[in-house]
Amino acid sequence: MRRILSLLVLIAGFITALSVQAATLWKIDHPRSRLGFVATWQESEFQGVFQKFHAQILFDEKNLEKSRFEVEVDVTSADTRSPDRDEAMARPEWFFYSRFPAAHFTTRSIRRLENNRYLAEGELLLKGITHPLALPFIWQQSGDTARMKGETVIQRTDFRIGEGEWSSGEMIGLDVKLTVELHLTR
Amino acid sequence: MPPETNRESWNGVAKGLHWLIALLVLALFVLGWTATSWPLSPTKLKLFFWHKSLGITVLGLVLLRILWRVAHQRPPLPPSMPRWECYAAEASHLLLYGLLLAMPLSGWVINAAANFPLKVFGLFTLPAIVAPDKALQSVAQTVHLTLFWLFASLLVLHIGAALRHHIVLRDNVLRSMLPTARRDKSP
Ligand code: HEM
Ligand code: HEM
Repeated sequence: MRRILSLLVLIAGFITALSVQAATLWKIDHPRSRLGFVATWQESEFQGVFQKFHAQILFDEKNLEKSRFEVEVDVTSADTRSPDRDEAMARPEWFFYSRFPAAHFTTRSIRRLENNRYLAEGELLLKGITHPLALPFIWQQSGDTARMKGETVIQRTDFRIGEGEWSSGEMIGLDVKLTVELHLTR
Repeated sequence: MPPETNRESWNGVAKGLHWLIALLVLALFVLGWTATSWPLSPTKLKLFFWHKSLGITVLGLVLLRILWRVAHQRPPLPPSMPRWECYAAEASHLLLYGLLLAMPLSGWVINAAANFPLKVFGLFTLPAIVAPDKALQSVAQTVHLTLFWLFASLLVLHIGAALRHHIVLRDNVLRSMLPTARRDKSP
């Protein structure tokens, strides 16, 4: 009886170990990681970063089924190194900070494209509007550290970012490139 | 031929640049004020886009004009003019050139300190001349505005002087700068 019990415990432990390995939880090295965007202003590009975000990164190249990203972005931490512009971003016609301070990205599936290139598909919730988002990314892993890097382009008007006159895209372009670079450890 | 009315005209290049720059500066005053008071909207950004593009154009034209000026002889002032008036004319012209440089440069500093891009007419991007810096931005804004008032006051004098030459003194100083006058001795 005791033997069977210990065997069961062993098996249970083994399964737990397996399942933990099946979807490794990665920790973000925040100082080295960057969640940013590139937009256009008066016909040239400018960059910004979201200084605060959390993410649960479950990733295993051998078990993409169980791999999953859940990202929460503090939209109000956006910084384009231009106080005038940053102030304007808080307004209702832009990000409406007071009502929609957070954005969420949750993946539905992650699949391999080729070698270390993958595609994460999911939903982005921004300014109260949910839209599908596909994020191609590169995953470079060596031992217990990894680097994830990706970018994708969204239409800001899909999320009613820049309403009224701003929705024409004149002077502030409609395409916004999202860029992500994460340094991770497990 | 009374000597004070016989003066060579400014050469075509000098005239062309003088009036082109004068026209642009006028447009810049209007654009600057309109843009500043316009509520935040694409139109405001567009007004600034034109203000900045034309302002940089003035900077380029003024540099050309200064180059041209140091390489050429200016037509002499009427010999009847008192010496102090000649000095005053020289000094005010020098100051005008200084302002024609300082206005766009201070504007460029505002723009760079505010971390706004500077793509002139949407064609080419000029580098930021200073790093983003809120404090520097407000200093440059004050400078730009103060220089504007100085510029506007000096232009009142400048235009007043030109009209005085024409109407009161009845010499050809104004005509020497008008597009119609040829290089020959006039009238
Ligand atoms: C000869 C050239 C220029 C003239 C005569 C001129 C004139 C003016 C005037 C009259 C104003 C409104 C008053 C004020 O708020 O200061 C203004 C504002 C402004 N100008 Fe210019 N400007 C010139 C060139 C430039 C250039 C080249 C730039 C940028 C690259 C520039 C950027 C600005 C900015 C950003 C403002 C708004 C300042 C504020 O918000 O206080 N300007 N300008
Ligand atoms: C924004 C407007 C203007 C600017 C920035 C400006 C600037 C200048 C400058 C820098 C000079 C000196 C040229 C040199 O010595 O190389 C000059 C000469 C002159 N300007 Fe203007 N000007 C303006 C408008 C006007 C207007 C509206 C008039 C006429 C009503 C005028 C009449 C003249 C005349 C007659 C001269 C020749 C003076 C001489 O022979 O010494 N200017 N201007």
